[in-house]
Amino acid sequence: MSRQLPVDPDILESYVLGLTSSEETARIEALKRESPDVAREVRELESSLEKLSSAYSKTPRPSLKSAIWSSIQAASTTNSNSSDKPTSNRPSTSNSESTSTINTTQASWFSLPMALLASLSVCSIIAFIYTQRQATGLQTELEGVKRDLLTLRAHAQSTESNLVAATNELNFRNSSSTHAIPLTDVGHSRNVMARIYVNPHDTLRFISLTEGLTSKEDSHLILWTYNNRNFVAVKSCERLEPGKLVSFNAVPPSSEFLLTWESSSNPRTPDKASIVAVSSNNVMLGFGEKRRAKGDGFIAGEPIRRNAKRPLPR
Amino acid sequence: MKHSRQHSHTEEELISLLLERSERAFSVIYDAYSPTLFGIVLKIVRSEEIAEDILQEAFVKIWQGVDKFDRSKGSLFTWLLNVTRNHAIDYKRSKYARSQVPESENSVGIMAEESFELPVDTIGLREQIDKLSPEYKVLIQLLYFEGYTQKEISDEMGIPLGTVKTRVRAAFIQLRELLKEYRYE
Repeated sequence: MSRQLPVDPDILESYVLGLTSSEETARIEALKRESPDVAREVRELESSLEKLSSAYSKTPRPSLKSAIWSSIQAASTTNSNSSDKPTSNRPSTSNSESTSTINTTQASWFSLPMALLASLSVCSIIAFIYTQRQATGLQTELEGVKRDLLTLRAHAQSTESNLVAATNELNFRNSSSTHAIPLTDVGHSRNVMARIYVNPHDTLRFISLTEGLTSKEDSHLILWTYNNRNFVAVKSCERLEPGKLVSFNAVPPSSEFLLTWESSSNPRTPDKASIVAVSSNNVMLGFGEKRRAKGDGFIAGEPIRRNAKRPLPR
Repeated sequence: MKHSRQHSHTEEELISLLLERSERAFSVIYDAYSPTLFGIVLKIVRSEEIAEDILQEAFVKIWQGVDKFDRSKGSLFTWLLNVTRNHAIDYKRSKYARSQVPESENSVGIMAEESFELPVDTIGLREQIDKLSPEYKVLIQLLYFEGYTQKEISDEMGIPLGTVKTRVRAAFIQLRELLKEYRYE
């Protein structure tokens, strides 16, 4: 599209996204009336967004329709009631400069009860307005509480489902399984299996090791997380034993975890390290291994070879 | 390629119906537009129950504000979308929603990852949208479905504002190109 527009195209995009100020909006609407090119460009942008929106269509539950109509009617009734306020304070338009001769004595007799009645009316109106405002305020507060409850319920349901998933995995581990995922490539280590459990809301993560870990009595497991291009040691667990369940609680979230096992006699220089990368929704994204060359220390942040993605068994 | 809506009225007829404010008018408008409006709200608030509330409130707003609709300023569909979308984004940014609804760690990348069943006629649209470049998808997600301003995106992602605007422009151009074959009956 090469036609010249009398306006910066960026602002038209901001306009259709609802991001322009009131002055900019007014200016663009004026331009739309004056320039068919601008009107056409805006229409095409809006059309793209309409199609984008349509791509995510989902039919709501059937009963919602009648509920919405009821709300509309209720809102209309409230509005029409509030517009039926007395307008009796307008002065009469009739030219009634009446010259009726009212006896002064009768007028004074009459004016006192009228004054009382007027005062009572004013007090009633004030009380009514005050009550209405209180009701409106309460209504608003109720709406807010309702929203809070819905949000809390959604959060509780999500937490509950994560806990159920983690519990199911624990139970599954105890049975003989053909679904265990090797922590490292076959051939580099011997039958070390691990699974990662992730609960993104409680940041509870733990790693389960099954049998086959060949380690010395003084070896321990260190968990590293990936933070700002470096691996940072987070937790360690001593006296590793084959088949022992290892838990690392309250681990901070990370896109990758690194497990290393070391012996106490030679800390911080593991011979090999295995990488497990996880996403936040319990999917193990990849795993691999890094071997340290003889004489070198472990270098954090080096690229790690990844294997294919494997989802955790459900 | 055509994308059909569930009604046989022209836009002028729909506007006239809307101004009637009758139950029949509501039924036609609701049947025609509620799936799209609900889908948008659901995409923004990510909870069906909350989306239903938002949609309900939006329709009340639409009904009460129908006199404000100005045909010369844009299409009816765009107006309905904007009222609904703005209401959903306002809710999302309100004190009740902020830090209450758990945000997915992959929230930016969810444009193509919903798993609910799709009507047949939207599958093609979604396939086209999935072809958007990942960086443009992120921008569209943040701008249109999260209600971010370009300045907020610039601050959040550490990108110059000019670069954000350039990318938004490119995103729209690509989106338009991908969707140009689709039109409404």
